[in-house]
Amino acid sequence: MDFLEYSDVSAEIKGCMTTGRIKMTDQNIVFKNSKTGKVDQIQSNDLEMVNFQNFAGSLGIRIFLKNGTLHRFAGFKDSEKEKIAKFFSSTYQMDMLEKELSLKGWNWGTAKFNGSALSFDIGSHSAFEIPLNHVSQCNTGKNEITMEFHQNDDAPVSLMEMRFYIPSNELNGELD
Amino acid sequence: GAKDVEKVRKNTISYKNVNQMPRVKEVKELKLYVDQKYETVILPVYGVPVPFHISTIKNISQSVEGDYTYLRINFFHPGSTMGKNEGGTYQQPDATFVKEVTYRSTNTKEPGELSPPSSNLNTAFRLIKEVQRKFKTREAEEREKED
Repeated sequence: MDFLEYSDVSAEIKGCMTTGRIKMTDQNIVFKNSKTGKVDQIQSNDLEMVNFQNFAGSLGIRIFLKNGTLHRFAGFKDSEKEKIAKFFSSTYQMDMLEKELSLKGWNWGTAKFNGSALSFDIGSHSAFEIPLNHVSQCNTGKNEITMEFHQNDDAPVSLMEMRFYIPSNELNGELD
Repeated sequence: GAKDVEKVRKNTISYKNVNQMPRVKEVKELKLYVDQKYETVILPVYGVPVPFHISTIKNISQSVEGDYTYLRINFFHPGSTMGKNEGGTYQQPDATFVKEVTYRSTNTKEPGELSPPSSNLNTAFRLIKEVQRKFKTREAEEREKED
């Protein structure tokens, strides 16, 4: 297998799933936005961790880079799973680990910073991850943190703001 | 004592596994979706549809400003008033809580669209209220039986 190519997948770009084509070679992973033609490239040397992750009924790939940035691609067929895993292990010498998401429906958990992504975990599973480059402003108040986000006009609905309640003991320990 | 333990809010869970999650257009398109069967609101957060059980939602509000509709969802968290008769406590008061989220959607229809994108927020607003009302009624009935 020299490369893998899928023409009908999507990438998470600023909170919006954007359709395009993905090509993975030993050198890099290239995503071409089918609407704008814009090309995003990930060098294979920069890969830190790769996961399979379910994106609402479709097989997704989560790629975490050494510089801390997070990339997510969705819309792969379940039948391709084995082939993709094989490709990553033989080409990049990386195991595709399954990253399960929390489906508990709780609004309490732990906020963890992982590279340039904030992950909100419930027990051992993440409920969601926020790539911090999408945050336009962050304010702290008494027992709370407010994050405002850059808006993507292509998204049918977009997340404007998220506010967290942080217990006092945590605030004393971790924040200035 | 034992009575206090009983009062602790029940461990309500939205989904046991991914197969229970609805495979609907809204979820795939990263819109808001209210799953009435599992009494759960599914909110899109950066590519991931995230379930929030209706019992975590305190109140919601909607506003129209200019070309946009805004939907704000407030969640229960320590320090917020719990309903008068709820008598519940938090299982993990030391945890970090999602306190509030605000979504925005345009009221402008693109050519070829049957309804503007903001209709998704309008539907979510209506259904969250409805599921919340049913849930509260049932909870109150169960409490009455216990008393």
